[in-house]
Amino acid sequence: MTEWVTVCKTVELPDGQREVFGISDRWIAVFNINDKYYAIEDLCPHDDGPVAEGELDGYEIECPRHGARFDIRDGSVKAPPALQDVPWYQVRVVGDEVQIALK
Amino acid sequence: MVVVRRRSAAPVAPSYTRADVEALIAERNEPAWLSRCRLAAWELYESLPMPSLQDEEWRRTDYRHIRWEEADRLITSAPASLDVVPAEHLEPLIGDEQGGLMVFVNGQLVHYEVSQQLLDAGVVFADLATAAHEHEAILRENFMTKAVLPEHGKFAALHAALWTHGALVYVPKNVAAELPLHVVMYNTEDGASMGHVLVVLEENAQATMLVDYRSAEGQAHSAYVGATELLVGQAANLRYVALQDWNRQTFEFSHQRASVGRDAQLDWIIGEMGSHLLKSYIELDLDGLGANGRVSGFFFADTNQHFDLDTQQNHNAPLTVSDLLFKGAARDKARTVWQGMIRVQPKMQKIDGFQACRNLFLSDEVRMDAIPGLEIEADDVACSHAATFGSIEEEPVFYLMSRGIPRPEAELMVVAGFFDELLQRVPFERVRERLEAAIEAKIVG
Repeated sequence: MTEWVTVCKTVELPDGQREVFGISDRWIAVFNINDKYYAIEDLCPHDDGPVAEGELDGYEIECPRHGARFDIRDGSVKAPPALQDVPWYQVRVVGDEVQIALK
Repeated sequence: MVVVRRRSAAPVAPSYTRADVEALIAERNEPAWLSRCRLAAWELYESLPMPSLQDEEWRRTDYRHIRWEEADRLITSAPASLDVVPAEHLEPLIGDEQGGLMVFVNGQLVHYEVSQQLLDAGVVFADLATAAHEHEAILRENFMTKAVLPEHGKFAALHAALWTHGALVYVPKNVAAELPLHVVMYNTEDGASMGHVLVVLEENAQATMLVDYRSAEGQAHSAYVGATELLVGQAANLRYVALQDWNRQTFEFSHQRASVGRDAQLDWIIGEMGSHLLKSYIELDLDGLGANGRVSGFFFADTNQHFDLDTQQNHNAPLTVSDLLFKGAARDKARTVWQGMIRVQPKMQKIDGFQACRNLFLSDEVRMDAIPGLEIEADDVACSHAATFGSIEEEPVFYLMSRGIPRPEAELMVVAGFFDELLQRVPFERVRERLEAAIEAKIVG
């Protein structure tokens, strides 16, 4: 069952910014790119690195540990050494709140 | 659902201050040297950064979820009585009779008994608060001076500054403490406790000991910052069992270290079942010629448990033998890490060192890492290591089902079979039964 969780107000996450939120045991990074929001888990499937602290190039983020790359729109892996996708989450805006869908 | 914004990548430290250490000292009426040790450890603690994902030993363990505002409240002033401890936790697991039983609830000693036979032989079995006065010389010589040192890390320093309770076992030269000793650390309150076990065996002494770590169901996060020190003197023999089954709100950060002397023998059994997150350093120092250490580790993680076990076998003398076997399983979304190292110092020849970690994953969503390592600086040694991973084989399950056994029981039998190699190393029937019950509880609930 999908559970929508409010993480912040839209004004708190302006265009081009990212924030990491702790929900239960997960760290989830939410990005605002051109006023659209995307969310991935901050856990590189290669070796548990903090992927969301990496550099963002368009929609691709590079894990700061070993350079694995992921598309933040769907979590798909784009470059090794990671072989698996990073978990991603749906994001919606309700009123002025940013919400993510926990699976 | 609680949502926390992560402001900084660095982990947040608990809110302790020097005043907490001073308050503990004022309350305890400990000898001056012990107070000085606490304050020196506090200075060290303050000078060290919190371990983070940038540190090699911690890169796979992210504990930043811990809510220190709940977990760092010392629980030693909470009400405590023996009545809250379930009776089965007090039963002897080794033999029918116990040489001594010490029970701590919320870090307070609530029950103490020891056989006259052991006392007559000169064996010391005392809680640390009592030992600080009645056995000061033993404590001063051995407490955090030979095995676990405050400088071993941030949590070791924190423990040295703020340890709350613990047990001292001392067996004099040529004495065999035949009856096993049992220590129970049981918590009913959410918050922090820092237990310590110090075992000192003099030359040619023998002892068998079981330590049980458990807690009642919790509502908020808890932290256990513990230390275990096993000092096995020349030609001494220690059999030591530690079983951990904290509630699922507990974060454990512990250092366990043994020093084994010349021709001495240590048989060390570790069972890790509970806690939410566990980071444990398990170190074996073979310090005397002919020292022999065997470490058998059992772990089983389920739901979202995270276990990180860091083992080290240090061959600091020639002709030493170490044999470490860890076997673990994980299911649901659990995460386990085992990092092992055999270290052989220069000129320490004729070493026999072995380490293995065998892993069984019971769902596609678990992650289990096993990272063995060798650092050999001598050239006449036999050191080997192994790490294996596997899932339940369908063939034996199918075979058992074809004999009329339902799938859950069939899978349980296969998993029990996986652990059998480890259980065979456990020389105590009831400890084996406890571990078997833990396997069953993990599989069938």
